[in-house]
Amino acid sequence: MNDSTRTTAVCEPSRSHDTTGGAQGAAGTSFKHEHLAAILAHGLKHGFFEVHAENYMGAGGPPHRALAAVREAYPLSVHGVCMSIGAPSALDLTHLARFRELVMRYEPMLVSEHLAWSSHGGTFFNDLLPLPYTQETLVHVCEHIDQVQDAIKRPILLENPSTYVAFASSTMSETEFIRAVVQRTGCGLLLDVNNVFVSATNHGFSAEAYLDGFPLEHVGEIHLAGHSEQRDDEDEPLLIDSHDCAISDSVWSLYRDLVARIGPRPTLVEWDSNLPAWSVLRAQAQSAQQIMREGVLLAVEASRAV
Amino acid sequence: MLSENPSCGYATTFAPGLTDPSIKAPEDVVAAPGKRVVKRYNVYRNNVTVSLIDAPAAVYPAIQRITGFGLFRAMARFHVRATPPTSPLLFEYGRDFPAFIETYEYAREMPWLADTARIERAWLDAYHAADLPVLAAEALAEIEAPSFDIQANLAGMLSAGAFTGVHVQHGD
Repeated sequence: MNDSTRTTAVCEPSRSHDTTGGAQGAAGTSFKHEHLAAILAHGLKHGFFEVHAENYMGAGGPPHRALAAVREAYPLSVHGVCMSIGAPSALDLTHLARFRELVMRYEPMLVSEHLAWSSHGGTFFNDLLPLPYTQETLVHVCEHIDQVQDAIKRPILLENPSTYVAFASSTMSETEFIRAVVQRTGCGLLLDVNNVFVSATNHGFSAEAYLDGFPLEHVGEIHLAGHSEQRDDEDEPLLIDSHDCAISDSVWSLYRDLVARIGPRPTLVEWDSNLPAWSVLRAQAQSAQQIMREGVLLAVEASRAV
Repeated sequence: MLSENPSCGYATTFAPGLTDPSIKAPEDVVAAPGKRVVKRYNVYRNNVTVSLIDAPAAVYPAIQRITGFGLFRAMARFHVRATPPTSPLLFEYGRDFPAFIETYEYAREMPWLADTARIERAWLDAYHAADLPVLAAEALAEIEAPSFDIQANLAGMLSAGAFTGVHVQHGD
């Protein structure tokens, strides 16, 4: 399944220490139409913007005009949320064709999708639903990723999910599953640090241990986001991947350690509801850029000390 | 050729309870030792239900303003459970919502509501429609009056006559 002729999902991580902020050190935000005028007036240096693919699958009109305006000034990331790669049923070929068309039209810097499912039995559920990690589901997920990559003629970045439940039938860990997917399909990875923190809290494992087992060498993009808190049946914290508030200190801390370990990667601040002013969102992206710059400088100092 | 899926029934067992609160989480769904999964599974159920009700609310904002939040959500919840979306494009969802409104018991005292919804639907279709070249005044002058054929979406909106006024009052 692995096609060695494919180009990589993003450019290779810079071997030299790039302190000028190239693609690897870029930080961006979700693009919301409410922010368009503010973005064009007060933009984001070394920035990029990410959109949910499905919001731009109409034929024309204001959505495409807004996206074209942003694309003219910034690199784009097209983030699919409804391909249902983790479903046992076949992919929706009409949807795949629309996805391909969007990628061709906007030539994004990054293309990503989720390790989750959202459609089954002819119904679309509009949520990122979990799957057991077994040899059988591995085969299906890999077939679906191959299908997507063949259609768009480039590798995708696959995002690790945030989950609230697990499956008794799972026979491998999430990181083992993801590593096997990468090996079989040649896809890259979108590492969502907030998802790692949310799942670690919800399932009682260590986020650091998860990252130790994650194939970090294949990470082509990082996601950061805010989460909210509910209580589970035992009245203990149950974190919700809500994308409606600022990034938590715990997630920033994990991100700082991650960047120190793997170097800068294009980093995206997701904020999808309860939207703040553009200046607030921009400040979050700038914090990510600052952490990446500090990480690079520390690496430079460490290499000089050797 | 995609392989068959003899042991991939997880979606078949996970899906039904997402839109039906009387169905419990499947047995294969677990949490850490000693943890129950009622509230955990409810997170997915809630995400699905709220987001699918939000979809008609996004397509029909004027209807929500006219009916009020409570009645609209009740109506939309009924509709979502009876006719869940089949396409991932939610701006395409709810084409049969105006017809559903006509049959909804608590909306019968507003017989104009369904046509107002049809106008909102046409507005959204026009919003997402492919861009066409702007019609210049000179081109209009060349058209013979009897053959003048107005674009379908616009025609649909105009034919709704008085209901356009209701939409203008309550639309964005």
